[in-house]
Amino acid sequence: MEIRIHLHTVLALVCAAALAAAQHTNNWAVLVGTSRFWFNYRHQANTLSMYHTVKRLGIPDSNIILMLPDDMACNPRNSFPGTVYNNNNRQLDLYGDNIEVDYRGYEVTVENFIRLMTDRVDENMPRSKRLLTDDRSNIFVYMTGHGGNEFLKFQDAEEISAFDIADAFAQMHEKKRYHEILFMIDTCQANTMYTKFRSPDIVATGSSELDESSYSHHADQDIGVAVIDRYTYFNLEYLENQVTNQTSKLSLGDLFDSYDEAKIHSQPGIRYDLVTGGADAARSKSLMDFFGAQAKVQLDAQDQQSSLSISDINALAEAMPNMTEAKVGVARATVQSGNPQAPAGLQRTNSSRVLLFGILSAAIGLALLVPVAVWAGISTTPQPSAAGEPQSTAPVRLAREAEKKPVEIMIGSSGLSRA
Amino acid sequence: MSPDRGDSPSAGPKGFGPAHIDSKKIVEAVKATRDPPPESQESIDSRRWIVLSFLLIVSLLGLPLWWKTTTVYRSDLPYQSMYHWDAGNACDPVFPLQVVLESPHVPVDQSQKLLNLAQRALDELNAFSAHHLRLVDSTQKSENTVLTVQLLPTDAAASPTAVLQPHATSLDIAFAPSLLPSSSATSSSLASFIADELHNTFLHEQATIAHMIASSPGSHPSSKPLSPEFLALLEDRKTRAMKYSPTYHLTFTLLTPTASPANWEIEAAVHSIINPLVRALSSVSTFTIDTQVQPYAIFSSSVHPVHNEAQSAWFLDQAELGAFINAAEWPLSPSIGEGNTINFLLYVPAPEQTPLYIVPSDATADASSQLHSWLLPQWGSAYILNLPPSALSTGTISAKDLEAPLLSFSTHLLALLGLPEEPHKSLPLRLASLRRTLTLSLLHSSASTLGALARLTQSLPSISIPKPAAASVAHTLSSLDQACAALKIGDFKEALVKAREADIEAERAFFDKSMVGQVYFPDEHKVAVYLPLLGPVAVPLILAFVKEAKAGVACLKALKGV
Repeated sequence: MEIRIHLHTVLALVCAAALAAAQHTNNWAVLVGTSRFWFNYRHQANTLSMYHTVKRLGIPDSNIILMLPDDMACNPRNSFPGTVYNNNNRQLDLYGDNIEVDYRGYEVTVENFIRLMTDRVDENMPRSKRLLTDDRSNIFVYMTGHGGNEFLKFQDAEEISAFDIADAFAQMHEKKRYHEILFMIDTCQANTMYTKFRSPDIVATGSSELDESSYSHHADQDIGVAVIDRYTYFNLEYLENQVTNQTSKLSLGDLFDSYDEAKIHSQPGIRYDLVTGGADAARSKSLMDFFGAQAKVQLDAQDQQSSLSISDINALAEAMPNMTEAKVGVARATVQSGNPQAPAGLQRTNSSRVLLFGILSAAIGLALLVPVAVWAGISTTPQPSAAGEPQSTAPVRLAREAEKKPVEIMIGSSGLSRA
Repeated sequence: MSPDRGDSPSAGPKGFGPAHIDSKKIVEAVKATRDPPPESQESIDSRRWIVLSFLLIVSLLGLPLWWKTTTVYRSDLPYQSMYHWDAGNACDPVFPLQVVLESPHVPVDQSQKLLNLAQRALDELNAFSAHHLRLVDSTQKSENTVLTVQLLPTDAAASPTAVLQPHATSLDIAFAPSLLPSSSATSSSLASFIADELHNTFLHEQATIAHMIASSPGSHPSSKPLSPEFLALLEDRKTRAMKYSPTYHLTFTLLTPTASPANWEIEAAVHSIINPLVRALSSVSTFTIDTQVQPYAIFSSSVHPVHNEAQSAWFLDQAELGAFINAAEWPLSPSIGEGNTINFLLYVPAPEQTPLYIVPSDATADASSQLHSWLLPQWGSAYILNLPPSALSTGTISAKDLEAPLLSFSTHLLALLGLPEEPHKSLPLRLASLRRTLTLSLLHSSASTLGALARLTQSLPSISIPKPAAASVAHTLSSLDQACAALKIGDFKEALVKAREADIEAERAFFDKSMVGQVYFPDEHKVAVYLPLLGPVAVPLILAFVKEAKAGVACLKALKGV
């Protein structure tokens, strides 16, 4: 096919083509349960249910980041060891035999979550634990746990605030790390969590309004605790019954319309205003844009003009030998010029940390010394006679000990950093 | 101990007689005892020293320490030049392509004349100044030459013909010697023919670059509008191509639903077919090659091949191909290391399901079309290899049988790297064109990363900016400058090297792992943390200071009064 560039093309056509252009090519899911302990069984079940759903609809494990802070399947209180159920009919074992938990136990922290979203991770972090998205990625973010007004608890130890998530999304937008995001959260006062978002192309939905609790759906008498939350339950019910395969044409609007306040026992919230085109555009987006992945294959035509032949390859092989060495050398040079900086920088920060620590301990030592000296000075003043000399040596000795201390700590910590 | 006080309780039991005198005395006595003994000057001084020393420690040592240890380290970033690059004002990328006119069989003065006329014709044709062709004679041939035009005078040819060499950067032009311009000619049909051919050869690349520059920030929307078909083609290519990565891992996987074949001569096949290609692409990225064999690999349950008796073949509907790759079961995302993995799947169907072909969605089953390979955008490609039973008997796929699949994979690899479709006749020219467009896109992406970093660090004051990040930013800026300078002189090799460096460093700066913002604390949280800690310490300290200050002021006043 010959490409001709027409000088007199209608500008409107160009604009239309440019607008229609943006399209996502890959789907990611970040599923986060944030609570520990057996009585929070349902939060793990919520997360695993979503994992099961997105996997069923075609998102591969490599594109799902699953964060589970506690291992319910192996909890000694679990009367069905090795399984996690989200329903008291116990028909579907969510734990199954093919599950990939990316962050587990104490790895599930606010810091790790933010590092994951912004991809500021250690260079040795395995790729399966990273969110390797680009400007063509649609991301489904699901969070569940205990929360309150503008915060969500992680592991009963720390909190992530609405500002933190909004900042993380802003950073992702700044680096073009997403195309669209569907943010779904099931926690008490969940709707407050997405109020601080400011980046475009995010649809957000939550289980309950400010000052409103989210409730669990039902308990399993044999497991002994609630197994799923209401909001998640009705989302899943819709996804399981209506979105039966990857060719589903249902939209986000259809899902949101299925929310029934009477059933959920709280007022679910939906935020559309960040999407270009507003509510209508957001509602018309396909559910499969977020909950699944459809590989769009490009079938090879039988006679491809641009396909390579063996003569092309042979010609390349002949042309290359003289060029190869130089190019490989260049590639190596770039690697070398790039790398040494990182370790050097790291060492610098380490040594400065040690130095700071030493100064700090020295300061504490001094701070201890001054009142002691003053005190000693007072106690000696009334009796300036014979007792004066032996007493005044005491603070000196103290001071020496205080000064010795930081030195030892410095040696200790620099030894550690080396190890 | 005053004697009055000792007496007064003993006075009571002695007798209640003169009560009016006693009570007054007692009151006075009690009053008298409430006054502390006068302080010695010494103790007043020492108290002042104590209060002063505490104050000094807190203000000179404590506060600076607290300040020092709680401030986030933020290196200075060259914000101005970062924004400058991001806005597209720092560099106007230009692509002066040097084309050598080689004319060994033409007199020098005539070839020089032809060159001048062709150059003039080219300049008239060219509407986009950032990408232009510079014709030079063969004496100026250098490393930066992108194309050689061979002038071959033949008596046979009536009108000039042009042939683009498929395996070299060369355009052969055959023409009748009579077409050569005379020294006084102001126009020449041969010169305009050469100009036309050259212009068309680079038209696609020029349009691509024009589009990239027009869609980058800070561009002037002066260039002519492109046709919608061309934009759709660019969009297709962008959708198909992997996101650029300095390293790609090519993973070849042999999948069979049974135990056989469990062996393939992949090493030899890769050596002869993939290696030359990868070597030709070595300036673009580093490539590593891995292979794996996965027997008993069955595709997911939603894929159902249908047997067609009439054509004695099995058919797979195109709509089902999306689910063909069983991502849940097949080990296809190995965490090899830094860089993207490109997957190439070779599927050998079970003997009872051979041959297996694909039915396009808009066609009927037809074994003669033999469709058996497809590309997955930004992921990789797959190939169904239908082998005759004789080839399978040994349990090994020979290198010869692997040739066709690997050629298909090579084509897909180039498509996944975003190789331009034109000029489709010459692979070397397409590769060179890929390098140039990649250079430009790397320049754009690292500049926008710099802008993102600058905006981010300014919008989040609590985020730290470590020294390595600042160093990377400096490195990026210098690499960008060098790349821009290299482009100006047409040294595209150097420009690509520097653009890659800039991209790597910009990414490193942006994703520095110590640049994670502090978790947000509302102000009331800060008060709640500091108050219980500092309140009990601060109250006596401040009160003592106020008391001493008051005493000092009173003292001063008294002195003045005297």
